[in-house]
Amino acid sequence: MTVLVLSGCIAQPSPVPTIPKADDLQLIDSFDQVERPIDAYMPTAREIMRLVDEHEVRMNECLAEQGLGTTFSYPSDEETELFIRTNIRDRVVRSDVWGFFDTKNVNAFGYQRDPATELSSISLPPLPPEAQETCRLEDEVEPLLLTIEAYTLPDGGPTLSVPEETMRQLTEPWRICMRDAGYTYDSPLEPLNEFMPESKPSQKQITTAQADVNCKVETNFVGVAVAVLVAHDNAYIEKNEAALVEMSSMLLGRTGQ
Amino acid sequence: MIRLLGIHFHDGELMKTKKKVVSIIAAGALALGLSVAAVAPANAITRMGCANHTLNLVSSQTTCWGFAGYTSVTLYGVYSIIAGNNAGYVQGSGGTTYFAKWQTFGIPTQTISGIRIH
Repeated sequence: MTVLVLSGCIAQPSPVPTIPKADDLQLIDSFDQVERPIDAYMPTAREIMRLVDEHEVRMNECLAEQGLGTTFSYPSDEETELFIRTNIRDRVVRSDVWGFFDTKNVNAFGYQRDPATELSSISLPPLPPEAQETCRLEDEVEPLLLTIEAYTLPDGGPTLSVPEETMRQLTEPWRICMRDAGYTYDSPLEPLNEFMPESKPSQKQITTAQADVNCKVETNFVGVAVAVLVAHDNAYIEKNEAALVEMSSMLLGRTGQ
Repeated sequence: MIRLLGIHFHDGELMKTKKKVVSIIAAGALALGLSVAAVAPANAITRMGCANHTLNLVSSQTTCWGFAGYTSVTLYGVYSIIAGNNAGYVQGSGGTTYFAKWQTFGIPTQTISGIRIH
């Protein structure tokens, strides 16, 4: 098989935008209000499931070509799609920019996922040793990673280009609010990391997560962050339009994006 | 001349294209039997000291990893994963386990042979 490796360069940062005032923007007090222009270019759960099915077919063709008496299959469609949707949802409720913002589940689960409606890990069966080189996953598009912006989009996507100083300015009102509430965190990602080892959410975790979300609403942190990201998204889309259209067409079979 | 998905490249152009950030994740190429490595951030995955944000592969000799990329490893007796601020997958004798960020979960004790972080 011919292998074409298209490797990326380090992305050049976008110009630092002016950070808008929270009061000038619509309040975002729920995760389902978050919308970004780049969302239109990210694969949907249905599109990823189609690629999962195609991948399964190719793997089994490969195994048959090797003359092996084994088959390959993803977990059930229900489980696979739940994992995909959990990761898609994470782009908003566990953002690399604003951290945790699951306004729906915070009171019951703190920083953790609702086990009834979210699935955060999934396992695929091992390949026979004879097929591990010839039918390797890592030589192909990996459907289950297509929920990740940095994996899917050219240059790693727009979020990757937000400068650190911008992040610092964005998070300051939230940090001050949290400090006033008795919590000292330098970054909104820190409390997510802190409570991750808990198998079940402690009361301290839930209380902290509630304060975290409340501060984000009180300061309209997510509203401001989304406004900054929208500017980055638009600049990124303009710069990478051809590659985005090509990706959408070839990978996802979309036309007329 | 190399033809990929209707795009003609001369050898020199293909080399230039390889150096450009182009996310041509080609399902069509796959259908033609070509393997296309998905565009990914530079392969910078690194073993590092364990912290809350690192990917921790828990065993009697826990190892911790960060930054995006893929690496082949041989890690015996791994029974738990602490994802930290990392999503990706591990490959092992038990199969390939994909994981989302910020979670801790157990896996059947196994030898891990590959790690990908994104």
